[in-house]
Amino acid sequence: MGNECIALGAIHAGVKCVCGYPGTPSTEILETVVKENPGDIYVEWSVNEKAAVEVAAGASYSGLRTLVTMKQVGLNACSDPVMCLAYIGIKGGMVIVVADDPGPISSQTEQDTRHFAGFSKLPVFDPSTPDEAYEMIKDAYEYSEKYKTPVIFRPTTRICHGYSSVDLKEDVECIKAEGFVKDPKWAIFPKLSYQNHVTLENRIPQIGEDFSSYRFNEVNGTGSAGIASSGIGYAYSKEALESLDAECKFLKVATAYPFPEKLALEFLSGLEKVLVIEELDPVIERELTYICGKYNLKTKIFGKLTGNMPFAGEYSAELVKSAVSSFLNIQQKEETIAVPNLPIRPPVLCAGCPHRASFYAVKQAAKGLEAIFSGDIGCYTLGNAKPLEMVDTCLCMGAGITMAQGLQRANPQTVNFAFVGDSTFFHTGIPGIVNAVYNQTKIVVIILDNSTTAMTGHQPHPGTGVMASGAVAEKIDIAGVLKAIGVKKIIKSNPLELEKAVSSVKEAAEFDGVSAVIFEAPCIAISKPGPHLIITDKCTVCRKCIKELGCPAIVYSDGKVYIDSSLCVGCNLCSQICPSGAISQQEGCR
Amino acid sequence: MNYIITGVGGQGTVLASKLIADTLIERGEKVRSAETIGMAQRGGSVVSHIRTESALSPVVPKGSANVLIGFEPSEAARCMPYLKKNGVAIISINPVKPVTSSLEDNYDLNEILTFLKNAPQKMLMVDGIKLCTEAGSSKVMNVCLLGVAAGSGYLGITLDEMRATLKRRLPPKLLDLNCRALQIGADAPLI
Ligand code: SF4
Ligand code: SF4
Repeated sequence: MGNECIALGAIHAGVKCVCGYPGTPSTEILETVVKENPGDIYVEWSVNEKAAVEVAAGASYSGLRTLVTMKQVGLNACSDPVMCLAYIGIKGGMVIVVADDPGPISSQTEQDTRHFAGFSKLPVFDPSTPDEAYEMIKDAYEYSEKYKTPVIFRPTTRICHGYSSVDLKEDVECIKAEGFVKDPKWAIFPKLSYQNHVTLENRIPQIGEDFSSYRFNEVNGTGSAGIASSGIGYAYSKEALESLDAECKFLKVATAYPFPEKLALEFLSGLEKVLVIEELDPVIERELTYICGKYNLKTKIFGKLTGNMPFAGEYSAELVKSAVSSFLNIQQKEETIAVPNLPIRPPVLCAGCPHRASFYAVKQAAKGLEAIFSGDIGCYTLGNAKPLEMVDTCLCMGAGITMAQGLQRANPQTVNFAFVGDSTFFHTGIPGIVNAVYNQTKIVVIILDNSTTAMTGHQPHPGTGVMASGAVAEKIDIAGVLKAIGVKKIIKSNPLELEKAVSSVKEAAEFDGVSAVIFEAPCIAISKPGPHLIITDKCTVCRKCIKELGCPAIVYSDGKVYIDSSLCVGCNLCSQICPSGAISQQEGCR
Repeated sequence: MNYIITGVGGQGTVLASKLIADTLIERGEKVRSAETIGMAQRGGSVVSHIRTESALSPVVPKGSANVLIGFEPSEAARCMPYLKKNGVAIISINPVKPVTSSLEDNYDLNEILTFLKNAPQKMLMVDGIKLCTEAGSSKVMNVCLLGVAAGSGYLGITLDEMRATLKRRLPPKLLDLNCRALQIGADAPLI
């Protein structure tokens, strides 16, 4: 797996400190470091991306090689330290892996980290296969130390979650760290920033020049037409040319910033036209267009800006092939087969997921109230789906709690509920609650505590009492935190006991001030299932259980309702809402 | 060779594709592979791609899969555009209905099966649930289907090779069950 390649590449390059926050598609990098740790690497799941970058920076200042992992939106959460580090620099090589998610497949945005690299003036590496990623990580450390700057390593989903055969080098590089040496250069001040800015700007073209001879940037092929590409787009375009039996000149850009201008000039010379194939933003396309202008070249550059390639969405082999064939004027016979209507499978909460029970309890408690439900990032974002429909807003990590406050100010007649998961609570939720208490904004915070970071595959967090390495940690008590920051009404409740759960929410909603309900029930993936339930003859096929809960284990087929025993985990939620008392444990079945 | 393995999250498609990839690697082939999984941990469509030879991208282009293994008829139908003109599909005919179908009742099994049966490619259809019952576990559909595929001779992997992979990859206590499932698949009657 690409993520494993990145982790192994870093381990073999002698990384000694690894920090990150889980986020698809980056999560398995840090997990692999935990698994393959030779014993001398410090690894942590940090509370958020900002903490991760800063912990790693401290270690880098001391000469250790460090690795930070996150997904693209995580970079937004730590842009403060990342921007500043570009000015201060580092000592031990620092690689910040930021996984981009074209599509997006599981993210809020299709932002392009290569742009962020240019904005923050940090070199960026963009691998096009998992095996290349393995090799490239080592180079990234070398450039980082050569120019004393953090570097960004930007794979996309197809690289992170792609698999390939890789030849591993088993010997680990041994980097001697001299430890932290006190020096005024580590403290940022306006005067120092000015001086460093001058150095920084002088360095950019130098690195660009250096990158022109970088081993994974290359020009090949011949012809008067050219294709410029990066990442997975490179693999798609090469395969498209092969299957179209066509030839053209090729530029592969593994480092979009600082742009390898000299190499690009070599590519552009003699070309009439170029098609740029890159996912997300037109970074290479703008650079090539700029170079054509700067050197007064007549080459025409085609891509997103000219309407030839789409801006949004993930590229596919088919999309690239059809773009390449029309660019090279090759007729392609399209054969499509008519597939019948197929059911869609939208993501849903798992059978027996305690979030379903929590949403249902809040929905019942809020009946008759003018209520707005602000959601957040995690499995519980799926509470927006039918039939629950309990997510009115969702923006970014931790935003539910704070947006609820703005909604409350603008709509004082409404009751504002904010849902937040346990991991998100620690990530960026706490300051938002402090803000509500401090500014006396009435909101009801519903904390969905399932004892794990479920969406990304069950990583521990500060509330679980376990560290990334599996070692026991101090368990941070959510109720205790709430109490300490001045929340006056805190109710703990089990969402699977429906009646009590509903009354807890009602009580919290009636409280004048900031209140919180902590719904405690473990994610089904980390707990033992109970005996599954069955539907007895008493069922009147009213389908209330299906229409109101949407548990995937309850199926309606041939005029009958039944429970799929392979999915049901026996959470008992459905039995509490069936008006006919038709859902029960095994005995008395038909 | 290009393989597509498809089904619904939770059916064991990912393990099936790992077993295929592992067998090919063991034989010394260079393998690339990828999975497309949506946000759902369970219940979503899952497609695994496996490629050998000089493939650069891990994703199988449409119209170029030699073998398609479908764990579920609607997911198999969704992936039919990947199958080569002279490709072979191995499909379990038992449907898994999504929640939306229970809300709206929009899953037309007959239409989907007819479409699959009428496809111009070679279609090997089996009753996956029946095979699992015979093997004695609802969790071995993946290995049963690998058995059908390997036994048919179209997979490019022999039953012996697959058995060796099971031995290498599975915990000893699951080995007997899975070897049985593999053989049951290989002997399975086609529908
Ligand atoms: S008890 Fe009911 S709601 Fe809970 S998992 Fe089983 S079928 Fe679904
Ligand atoms: S709510 Fe009860 S009576 Fe209604 S369909 Fe479900 S099991 Fe049957």
